[in-house]
Amino acid sequence: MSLLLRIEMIVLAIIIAAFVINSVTKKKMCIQYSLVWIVLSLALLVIAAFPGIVFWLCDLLGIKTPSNLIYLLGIIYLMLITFMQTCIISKQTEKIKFLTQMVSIEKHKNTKEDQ
Amino acid sequence: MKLLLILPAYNEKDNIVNTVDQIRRFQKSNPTVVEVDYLVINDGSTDTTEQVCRENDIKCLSLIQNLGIGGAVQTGYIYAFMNGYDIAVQFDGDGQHDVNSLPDLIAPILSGEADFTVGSRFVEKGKTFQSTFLRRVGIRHLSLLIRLVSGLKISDVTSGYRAANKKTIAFLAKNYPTDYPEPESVVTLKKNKFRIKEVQVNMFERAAGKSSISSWKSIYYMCKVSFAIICASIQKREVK
Repeated sequence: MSLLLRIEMIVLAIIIAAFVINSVTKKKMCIQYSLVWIVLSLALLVIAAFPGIVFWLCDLLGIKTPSNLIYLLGIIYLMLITFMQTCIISKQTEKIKFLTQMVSIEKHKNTKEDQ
Repeated sequence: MKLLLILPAYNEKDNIVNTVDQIRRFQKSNPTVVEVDYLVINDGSTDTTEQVCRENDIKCLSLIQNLGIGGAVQTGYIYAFMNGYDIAVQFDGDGQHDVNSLPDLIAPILSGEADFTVGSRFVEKGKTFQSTFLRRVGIRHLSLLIRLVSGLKISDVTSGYRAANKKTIAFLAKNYPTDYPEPESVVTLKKNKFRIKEVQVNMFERAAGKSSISSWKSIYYMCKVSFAIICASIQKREVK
């Protein structure tokens, strides 16, 4: 892995981390959901520092070029995030439904008492 | 004993008054031993449903936003649970269901024979109208699937004319699917050892307005419901 590529990866990792930390401090993102992005940034740093990991994994999995492995890992990681988000959305849908039902019932009760 | 008719209504300003008038006539000549009450659940209608209800002195609970049929009906079950009703009956706000079939529908519940009854158009062939061909094929498929996964014999699986006893009300208040809930909820109930019985009822053609299942959505409907039935059948029993 060339030195230039390693520097690029470090820069990218720093940009991602900066974005995420900025979003968290500005309350655009809650900490619990920011962790997946911080992990991504850390992973980039680790690979830039120890490129040997990528080559070792390539040999282990029988993948010819490191870039293919990076793509594969990237796609798997993105799918994982999307899957988690679908779960979060589903839970929130349930909660919003319950809230709507309870608020509507309370509101109905109050208007009945007013009459 | 008190009974609550749950009438989910989404943009039903043309039908709701007639439907409730039918119920009021039924209340006056009530042939059953139970006290019959009703509640319209206005599912965030964008038309004047809420206004029409107020003007005609119809008991109406308006959801603060649209939840879809499942969420609306569940609100009715939650309301019935909170107010100690003994029986809750789902009843369409569009005038399709005949309130005069109510005594038949709740008879198995009153006798303690069933926890949940489904009002069906198909139990006795030839009686009342039989829906369109495609819809019948779809219903046949779902009916077969339900029988396969749960052993339950229900012919009119999409029927929204259904009655629940106290125990079932408590369960449905907590567990009710969101969209196209009818077939799925029957499987979930069966899975949780509720006794289900199908009863012949009378239904009318829709007076006005559109059915919640339009033709272009029917493929999505079949896929979603089939998958939901399979999921419901392998779900673990509620411990609550």
